[in-house]
Amino acid sequence: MVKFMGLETENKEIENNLREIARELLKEKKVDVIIGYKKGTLPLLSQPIIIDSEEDIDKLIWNNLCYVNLAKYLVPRVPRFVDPEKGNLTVGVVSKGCVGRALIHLASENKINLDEIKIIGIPCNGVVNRQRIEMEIGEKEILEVSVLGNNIIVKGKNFEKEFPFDEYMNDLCKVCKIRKPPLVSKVPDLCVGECEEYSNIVDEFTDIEEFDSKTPKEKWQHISEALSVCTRCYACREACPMCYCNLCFVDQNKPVWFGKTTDLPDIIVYHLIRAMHMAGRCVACGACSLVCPMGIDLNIINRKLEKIVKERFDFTSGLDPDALPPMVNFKMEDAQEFMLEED
Amino acid sequence: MTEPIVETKQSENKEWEPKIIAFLCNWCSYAGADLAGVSRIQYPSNIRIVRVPCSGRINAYFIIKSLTDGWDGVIVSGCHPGDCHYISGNLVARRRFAILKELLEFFGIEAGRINFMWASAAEGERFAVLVRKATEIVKKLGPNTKFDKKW
Amino acid sequence: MTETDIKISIMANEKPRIGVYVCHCGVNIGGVVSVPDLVEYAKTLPDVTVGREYKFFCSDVGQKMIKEDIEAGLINRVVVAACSPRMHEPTFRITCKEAGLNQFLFEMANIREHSTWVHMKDTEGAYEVAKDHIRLAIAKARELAPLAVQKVNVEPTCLIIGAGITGMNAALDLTSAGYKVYLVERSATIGGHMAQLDKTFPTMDCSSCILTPKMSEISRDKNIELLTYSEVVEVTGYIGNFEVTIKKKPHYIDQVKCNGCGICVDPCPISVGNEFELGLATRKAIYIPFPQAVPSQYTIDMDSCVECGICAREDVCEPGAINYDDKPEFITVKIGTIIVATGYDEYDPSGLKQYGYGKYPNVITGLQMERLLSSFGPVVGKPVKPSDLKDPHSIAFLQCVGSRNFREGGNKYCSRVCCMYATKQARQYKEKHPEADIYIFYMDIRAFGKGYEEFYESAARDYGINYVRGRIAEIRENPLNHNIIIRAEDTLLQQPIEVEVELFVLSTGIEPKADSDSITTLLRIQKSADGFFLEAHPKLRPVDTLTEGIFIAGVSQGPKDIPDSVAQAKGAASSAIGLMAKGEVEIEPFFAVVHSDRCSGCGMCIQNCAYGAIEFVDDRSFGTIASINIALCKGCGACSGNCRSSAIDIIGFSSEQLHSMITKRV
Repeated sequence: MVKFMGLETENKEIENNLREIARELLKEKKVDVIIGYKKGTLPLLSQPIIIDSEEDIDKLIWNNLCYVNLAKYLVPRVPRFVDPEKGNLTVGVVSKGCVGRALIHLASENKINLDEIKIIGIPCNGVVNRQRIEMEIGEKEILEVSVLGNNIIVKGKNFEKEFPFDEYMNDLCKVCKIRKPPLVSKVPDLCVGECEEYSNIVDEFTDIEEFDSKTPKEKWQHISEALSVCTRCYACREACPMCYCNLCFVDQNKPVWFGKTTDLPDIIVYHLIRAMHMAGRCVACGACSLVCPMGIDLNIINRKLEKIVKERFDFTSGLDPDALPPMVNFKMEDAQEFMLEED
Repeated sequence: MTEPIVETKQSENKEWEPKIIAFLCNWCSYAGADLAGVSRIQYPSNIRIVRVPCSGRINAYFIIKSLTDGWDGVIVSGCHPGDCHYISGNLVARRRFAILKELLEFFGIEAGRINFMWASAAEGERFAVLVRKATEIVKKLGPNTKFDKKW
Repeated sequence: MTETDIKISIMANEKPRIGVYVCHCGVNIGGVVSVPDLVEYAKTLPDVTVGREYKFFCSDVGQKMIKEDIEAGLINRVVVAACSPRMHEPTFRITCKEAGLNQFLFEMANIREHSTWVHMKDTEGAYEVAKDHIRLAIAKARELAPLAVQKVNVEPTCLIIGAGITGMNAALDLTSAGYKVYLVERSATIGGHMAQLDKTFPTMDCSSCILTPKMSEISRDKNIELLTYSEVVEVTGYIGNFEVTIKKKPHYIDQVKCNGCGICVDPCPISVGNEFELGLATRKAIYIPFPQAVPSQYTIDMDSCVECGICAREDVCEPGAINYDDKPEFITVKIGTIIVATGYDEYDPSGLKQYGYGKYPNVITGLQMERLLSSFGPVVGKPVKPSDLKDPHSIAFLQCVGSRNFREGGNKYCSRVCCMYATKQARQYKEKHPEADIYIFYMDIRAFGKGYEEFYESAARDYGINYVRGRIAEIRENPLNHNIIIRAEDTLLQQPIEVEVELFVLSTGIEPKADSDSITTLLRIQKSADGFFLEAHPKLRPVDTLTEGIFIAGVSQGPKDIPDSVAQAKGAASSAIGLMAKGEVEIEPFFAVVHSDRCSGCGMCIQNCAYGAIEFVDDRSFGTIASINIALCKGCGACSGNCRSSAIDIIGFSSEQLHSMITKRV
């Protein structure tokens, strides 16, 4: 049997569990509406779906193609999440680890009220690096994708190719330490499904060691080459759950801080400042890279940010809604080895 | 529209001199720079001083904009930790600067162009010493061309 | 709309016409760079309609030139290129105001402190810097907007920290002008170091005789809230409206019940070193600092007390005033002005091993000598050698101990009192022991005050005190009799000398209070390189700090003697009175503002604000956004520095103003 646009995975059990929980939540009116993933219209993709009746429950899926960070739909709330009379609806969010983190971090920025959501926790084992596979397949049309064991099998007209999953997984997923949404102690019934308590997250950041050890010249060459193809479509911004500013700095006038062209300096500045804004806020979902039409790998920047805030301020975003993010917090004894000092 | 207006033309036989924009907090470092003046402590004529209320006022935009607009270096100087006129502006700023500096390094942009320092109202000598040092660092890096535009 | 508002809105809509005034400042600027060239350069910049030069724009004539241009309608923005704005910004703002221009349409280019004075030998460089600073100032001037000044009330109450002779004098001046004073002293008595002195130079009048009446005057004054054994722990607010929290440390004795009979002292079994007597005598764990202490209150030193309970016995303390469970008390008061008069610490010479202080019994400090000479001191004014408690037949003083030392770790400044107090102490001893040999080893004698030189002359001439110019090379102790053997070089006679004396007095200098950092942190004031508090201007504003409404006086600002301290106290008091008499002050309207349309309500600024000046409000069009309470905002910009969407801006240092300076475009 040929399955089109589908993905056969070993996650069936998770998917079944998910549907069970969702059914219960709706039945017991614990949530008004659920946002999750459904099959995509193309292979290698999934789509968000909002359901409010039990009959649609079977449309919910879970597989390694569920890239989108669903927290994005809550900040600001899409119209379906707001009842004209009742106001904010209670939303169940199908959450892998990074979606849970995003929701919790957004709560710390007053963008989400945790009493108005339920986190439907899912243990995630990583999402497929779509761009990389597409790039290697080239112009040929992909008709079917499945993940079996450690293999991503991609089929099309007259071809079939296998990719080892642990290699063709999104880079951030390879080093992910928070695969299930974090538990929030002050809102114990926030999470249904599989969640986990994280106390001390140990991360060696070995994956960016190599890049970090490059000379400034090599770094610049790598970064400027990688970013030079950016068309400034802002898909990264639109996919990012943390990019919710009413008016992004690049769209401002009075004053116009930075050029809006696709000239390299302007591109670099856009990504540099965006990185600045993500420090201590990025939840490592990788959505920005996965939606980039030019296949730019922004993950490496996000990893660096994670490393900076972890090493300098011992902070991991999206674990505790009451924790002060590093950029608004300070300690008298913060490291200041970078300050200029007399010899 | 955005081409730098500053005349960067140098006479042939003269060594290239960097231009550095220095954001000084009103209460400590600006006063420290004033004291350097009053005490006639000499330092290189490479910095151009912009007064701000507090180092906490310095948004990353100011620093990056300075680089894109052709300044060869940036100095941000505030009160020593614990001495901030506004209690904690410099401490909030310190985290911001730490991240910015690391990110610039990561991007391969010469992080040495950006120098953060503390200098109190009484430290005219220290201010001059650090300006001298920052100028040397920037001078070694050469002209800031990373952000030169094609168009 | 008030008249000012209308005027402001008209000014805001006018196209900038900038007048640039480049000051020669005598030769300070004009002697290094070509002022006419700077003027010509400025005139080439956009929107500059007038460019002028003058010797001194801060003078009447100079200001008049600016006024005439404003009044003639030639200009609506003023840029003065001269000294630091911290020097003359207020001057020129008034100039603008008097000519009918909004005072905030003025900008200053600092081409003296930041150019000609620091690049004196690099005239080309200085010229470039001056040019750029003028261009930057013009760039900012083009973005300036007229602003309405903010007036705030000044609470008619002054806080004085430190109740030594300086704080006390300031307090009395303030109450005599009708203002309320909170006088906070950390030790259990007022009087400060002056209470430890015996006589004062050069008049030889008894320190206590002039101090104690002041002390009781303080305690009687109804307008002085005297808070001894108390410390200021928190200061918030701003000029005219400080909120000050004061901690009253527990005395462990109910001060209302205690009748000051002092019966409790004798039975107390614990004896410790007496701070007031600098360790030359002991005191009990329950004590009064000295008999004339004001207020006459007893205190239990809980660090030493073992709570044996003797003093609490009914037969010891009849009123039952002892309370071992006494707790600190906190009071918060509203204050208009603050005077800091926290005084000094005596230099501790233990570190100077070569002088044997702490090692040889007969080496003492100047302040200890003062206690030995004091008629109510441990030996009732008859100095003795600590080794055998006999009168010394010979005394040597060593000057500049801990002062004028340019080596690592030394204090570079002159402590200004040691020459005279050593002379005074020598004279005092000579008066009673004319036969004694007295030597004063000095580097230079500094006798600069009124009557000081005469005092010194007479000491040498009439009292036969031997002044020896030369530093002491080494001293050692004669093991037989604890005498001190001094080897020095008399640099006037150019020959080595050796003398053996029975008492060796180190004329120790003055140091900033060891914990003066806590005051700078508390009040947001600065220290100068020597560690004393920094004045706003070394000559013209010697008692002002850079924080408006806070003044400094006495030795906390720098070493000085009693008359100078009192003079500063009076200066600080009159400055504080000036502010309070007006009842209101104008403050720069430099606050944060929120651009509602840009704010996404992330709340970063709320966390960043050290003053709690930002809160969320529900805006009809933009939802939950930040809003500034300008009564609390200080305009520091910490909020704006972190704002991702530039939704918060700072008036006076706005993004557009700074942007225009950064882009260097004009």
